[in-house]
Amino acid sequence: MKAPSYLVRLSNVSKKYGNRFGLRDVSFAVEDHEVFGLMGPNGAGKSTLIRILATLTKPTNGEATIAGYNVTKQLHPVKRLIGVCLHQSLLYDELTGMENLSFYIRLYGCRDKETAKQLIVNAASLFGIEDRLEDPVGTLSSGLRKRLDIIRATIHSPRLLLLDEPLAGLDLQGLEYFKKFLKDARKKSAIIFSTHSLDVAEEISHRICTLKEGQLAELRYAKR
Amino acid sequence: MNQSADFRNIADFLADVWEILLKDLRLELRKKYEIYSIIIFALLSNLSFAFALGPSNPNVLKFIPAVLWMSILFIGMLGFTTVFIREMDKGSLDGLRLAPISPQAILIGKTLYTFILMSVGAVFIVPSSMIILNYIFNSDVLLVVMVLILGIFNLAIVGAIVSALAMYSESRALIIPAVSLPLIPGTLIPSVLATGKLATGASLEMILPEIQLNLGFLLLMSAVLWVTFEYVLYD
Amino acid sequence: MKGQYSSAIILAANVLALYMIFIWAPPERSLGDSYRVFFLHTSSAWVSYLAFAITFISSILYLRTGNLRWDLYAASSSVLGILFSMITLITGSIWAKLAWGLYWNWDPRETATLILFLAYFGYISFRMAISDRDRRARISAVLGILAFISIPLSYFSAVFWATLHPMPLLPTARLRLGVEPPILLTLAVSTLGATLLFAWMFYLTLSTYRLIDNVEDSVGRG
Repeated sequence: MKAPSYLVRLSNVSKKYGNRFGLRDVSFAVEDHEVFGLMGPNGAGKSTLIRILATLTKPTNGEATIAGYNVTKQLHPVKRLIGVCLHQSLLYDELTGMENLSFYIRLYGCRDKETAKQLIVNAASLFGIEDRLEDPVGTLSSGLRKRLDIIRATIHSPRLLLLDEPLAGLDLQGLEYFKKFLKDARKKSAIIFSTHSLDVAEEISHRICTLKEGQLAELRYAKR
Repeated sequence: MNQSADFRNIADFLADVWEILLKDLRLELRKKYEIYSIIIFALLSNLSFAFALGPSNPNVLKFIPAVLWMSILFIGMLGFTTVFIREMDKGSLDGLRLAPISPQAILIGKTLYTFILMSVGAVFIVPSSMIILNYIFNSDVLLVVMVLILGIFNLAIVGAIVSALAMYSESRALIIPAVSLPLIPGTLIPSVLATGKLATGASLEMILPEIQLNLGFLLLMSAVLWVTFEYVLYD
Repeated sequence: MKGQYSSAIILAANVLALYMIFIWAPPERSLGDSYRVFFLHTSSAWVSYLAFAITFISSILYLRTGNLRWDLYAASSSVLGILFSMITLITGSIWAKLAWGLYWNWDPRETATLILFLAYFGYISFRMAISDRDRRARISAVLGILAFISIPLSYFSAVFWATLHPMPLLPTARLRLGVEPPILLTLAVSTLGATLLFAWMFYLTLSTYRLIDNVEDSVGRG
């Protein structure tokens, strides 16, 4: 039987804050195109784990690689491969959606104005917000802002999507949009996301990992 | 860390610097957080100095460089806060950290932004000082501009890095002056001396030592920041 | 225990230094006995610069190794440095008044010491404003490096400034502190004494900071 090639690998990853363990000896691997759910109570270490994979924090011990690149030593290639959505929107409120997305897309290497514009408009219409692209982001509702943020995270076609509590604050319609988005995104990327909602996790993930006090408590396939 | 500028792609590096600068300028033009306070402060400081020194003060020439650079320094302090601190407080700093760009590109872009803000202030301060305090630079305009540009750019470097350091701390209003204080004299003194000479008529040779001191400051600071800034930007 | 011997040596060295400064060294030609503050001033100045060099090097080493003990060294050194630079400034003003008639005359070395004091002040207040230990170590290491290189930059600016604006000196001013052996010897001993004192205080401060860190760790903060 052929061994699966893993996109993401964590080996004994620990993160200490002073004497307290935020994460302790966490090891698992995620395949390409897999939807991987992270569950656990508040403070279990889900956000810390996502931040480590996002290169925003360094583990105290252990190693994490994405497509073979070490997240602490080979930051540039890792950053090109990942798209990240955190609690906080990374958009500038005073700029329009188009300005925000152009800024980010150019930082990710797409410098041609026309191509960039096209990519942005296409992505926006997929999410149903192409008519709000010229409004300042601060004037948008939180749901629309979230969608723009997801466009920002996916516009460079990353191989891995890291979503920290993407379901937070979503209403029913938003949730449906999100599930539809995931179905599409799965074709291009692996997805690691954290949530409190077990139902949704079971419905959309391939596997679910539960963290408790920084340690991996359970790793199993979703019951779908 | 392996995050430094990739020298195969200087064009990309410069393009990144440009993007960051443009984004900050666009934000500033949109909300005008700093520009208004800078302009008002410029005029206010000029008036204050004029009242303090009194009309037709025979010693005015001696005070000009000090007055000028004090005003420029203070508008810098006003503007220093927003450079990085605003990014952290609004949460967009992670966006910059996540982007596959060099940390140095971020610092240079922000430094240029600070420089432009301070220059806008200087554009108001210099002519209005000359009018209110009743003097004219007795030297080549180009020399004056060169001294100003070099001096303001050095102050902008200090401002950008102090802002980046201070964004991690509490009591920013106190920390920014406290941390800037030891870093500033190395460039402020040459700028003030050169301006003083220019006010009484000086040629390029006469201000060459001061220019060299300021260039030395620029090179040394840039070299150290090039190497250490990634430790400030990333957690 | 080694500690008792070293404390005894340090105490002896300093007592000897004080004796030499105040009693043994001959009175100076023009200033008489009041010049003795010079020994205190110079030895403190040396220590204050040594302390910042330690902070500088420890900052670099922390960034390279990530080992928190370098951060402890940098912090301990800075606390002592601010003390010694304050002593330098105060004794320096007394000395300046004596030798040149003014408490402060923007002499390049005085100015550089002032900048050094401000650098310590900025560094220490900055450290106090960050609570996360690793972050504080990393960010203040960068500040430690930047502040250190500002000092020669300020010094050269001040040197140049002094050449343009020479301070008016009183006639009794330009005294040449002779290279007479007793004075040099006193200087050497007082410098040695001050350095040993610094080493001992450094060790104490370091132990205190280590203790604080350990307590914080066991209480679960930090």
